[in-house]
Amino acid sequence: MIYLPKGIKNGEVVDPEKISRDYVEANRIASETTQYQWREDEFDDITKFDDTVCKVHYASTVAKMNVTIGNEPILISTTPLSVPNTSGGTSSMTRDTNLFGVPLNRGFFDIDGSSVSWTSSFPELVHITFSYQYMRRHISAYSRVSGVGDAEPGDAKYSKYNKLRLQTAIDIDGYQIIGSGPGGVNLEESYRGLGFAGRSLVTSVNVVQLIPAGVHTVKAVAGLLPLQREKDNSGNPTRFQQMFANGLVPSASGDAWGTNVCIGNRNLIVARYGRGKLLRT
Amino acid sequence: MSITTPKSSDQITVGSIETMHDQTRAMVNDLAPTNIGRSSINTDHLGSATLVQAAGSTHDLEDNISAEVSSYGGSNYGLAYPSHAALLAEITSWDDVATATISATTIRNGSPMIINFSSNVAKFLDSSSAEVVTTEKFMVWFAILIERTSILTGSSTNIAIEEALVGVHLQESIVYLNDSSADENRIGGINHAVSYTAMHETSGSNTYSTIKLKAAVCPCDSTLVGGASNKKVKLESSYLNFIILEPGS
Repeated sequence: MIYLPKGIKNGEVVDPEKISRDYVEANRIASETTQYQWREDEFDDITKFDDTVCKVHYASTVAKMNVTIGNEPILISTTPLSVPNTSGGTSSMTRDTNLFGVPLNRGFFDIDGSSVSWTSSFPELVHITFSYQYMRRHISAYSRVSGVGDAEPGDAKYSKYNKLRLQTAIDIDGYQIIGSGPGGVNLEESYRGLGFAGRSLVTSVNVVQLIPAGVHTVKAVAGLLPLQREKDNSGNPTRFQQMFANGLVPSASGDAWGTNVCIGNRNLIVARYGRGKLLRT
Repeated sequence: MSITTPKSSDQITVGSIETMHDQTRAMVNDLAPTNIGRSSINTDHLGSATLVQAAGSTHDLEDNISAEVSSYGGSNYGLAYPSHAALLAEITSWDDVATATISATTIRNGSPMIINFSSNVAKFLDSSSAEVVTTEKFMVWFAILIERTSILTGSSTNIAIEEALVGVHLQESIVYLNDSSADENRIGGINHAVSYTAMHETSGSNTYSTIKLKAAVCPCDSTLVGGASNKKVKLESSYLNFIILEPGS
C-alpha cells in the first residue's frame, strides 16, 4: 500500500487543519481501501486470504437401496423385507428410513437432508449443485385402469398407462428456480412432458445465481404430478381424479400410485464466491 | 477508529502530533476485513493466485462392464452393506470406468474436493458382447472410490463416497431392440444418461493419488443368487472430473 503524507514545507506556516488532513486521509484510506491502493500482483498466494474467499457447504443423506444380485431395491413399503442369501435361504433386511417418499399431487415438498443455510455480509456468486438418486417400482407393479392389461413402450395401449412424473427443483429462499430440475409449469391441465416419467434416475442439477447479502437457505424440493389430466375435453373430472378423490382406490390390483416412489442418496453442494463489485449499492 | 486532530484554535504541540501518529499507525497496522471496500481487489492484484488447488478430468469413450454386484452371504453383502468397510470391499472389486490422477502432492486439511461423473448407459450385451434382451429388473450401479495413503503409517486409507452410490434400471420395458428383427423386440430404455456430483472434505493426514469411477451390473434376480448373469453393460462417453478448492471451507 502506498500512502504519502504531504507534511509541511520549509518556511510554511503551520496550519492545524492542513496537518490534520494528512492523518484523516490515512484514516479514510484505511477505512475503505479500494483497488487503487494495491499493487499489481499483490496477492500472489491464496493463503493470504482466509476462507471467506470461497465457502463451500455440503449437505448429504445416505439412503441405501439394499440391492444385491438376488433382489431389487427395497423401497418404502416393499415386501418382503428379506434378501435371498448364498445359503439358499433369506436374510432379513431393514428398509432405510432415510428414503424420501415423494408425495403425489401435493406440489413440492422439501427433500429431507438437502438444506443449507448461511448468513453473508456481502453479495455473492453462488453455485449450487443438487444430485440425487430417484427410484420407483416397475410400472407393472402399480394398479392400472381395468382392461388395459400389459403393455410395453412402443405398444399403442402403453399410452393408456398412468405414468408417475417426477418434478424436482432447487429452492432459494422460498423460490423454486425455473429450469433447476425435471419439470415445468403445468399448462392447460396437461401432465405430459412436465416431469420425468422413467423408473429410475441419477442426475445432477446446477444453478448459478448472484444473490445479495443476508440470510439465505437453499434446499431441494420434489413432487409427483397428477397421473392424468384433471379434466377431460368435455370439462368433466377424469377417471384419475375420481380415483384420487376416493383415496386412490385402484380399479385393478397392484400398488396405489404414489407409493414406493423414492429419492435415495442425495446431496446438495453450495459454493459461495465473494462478489461485491457487481452488486454494489 | 478516529484520529484526534487539533482544532484551529489549538496550539500544536509535539504531543498532539505524536498522538495523531500513534493513532494512525495503530489503525493502519491492524486493518479489519470490514475496512476494505467492496471493490478493493480485482484480478490485477491476484497475480497467479488461484482458488483451485488441483483439478483433473478423464474420460472413457467405451467400456464393457461385466463385474457384478455380489450376492448376500459369507463376507459379501451386495449393496445391503452393514459398514463402510463392507461397501469399500464391494466396490473395489467392480470394474474401473475412469481413473483421474490427483497431481497435488499435499492437500490442505478440510479442502472441498468436488467430484462429478457422467456416463451413458448404451447397451446390454451377453458374454460374447452381442446385444441382448434382458429383464426389467436389470440394473447398473456406479460408485466413486478415492485412493489415498496415510502419511503416518503408509497404509492404504481408501474411501468410498457413500452418498455417491447410485444405480439405474432399464427403463420400464422388459424387452428391447436388439440385432434380431423379431416382432417382440422394441426400442426403449437404452442410452440412459447418468450424472452425479458429490463432495469429499480432504484430510491433511493422507496423500491422495487417484479418484476412480467404478461400475457393476446387477441382475436383481433371485434365481441368480450365488451365480452370475453373464450379462454386460456397454457404457459410452463416461467422464470423471474433480476440483479441489482451497483454502477450504
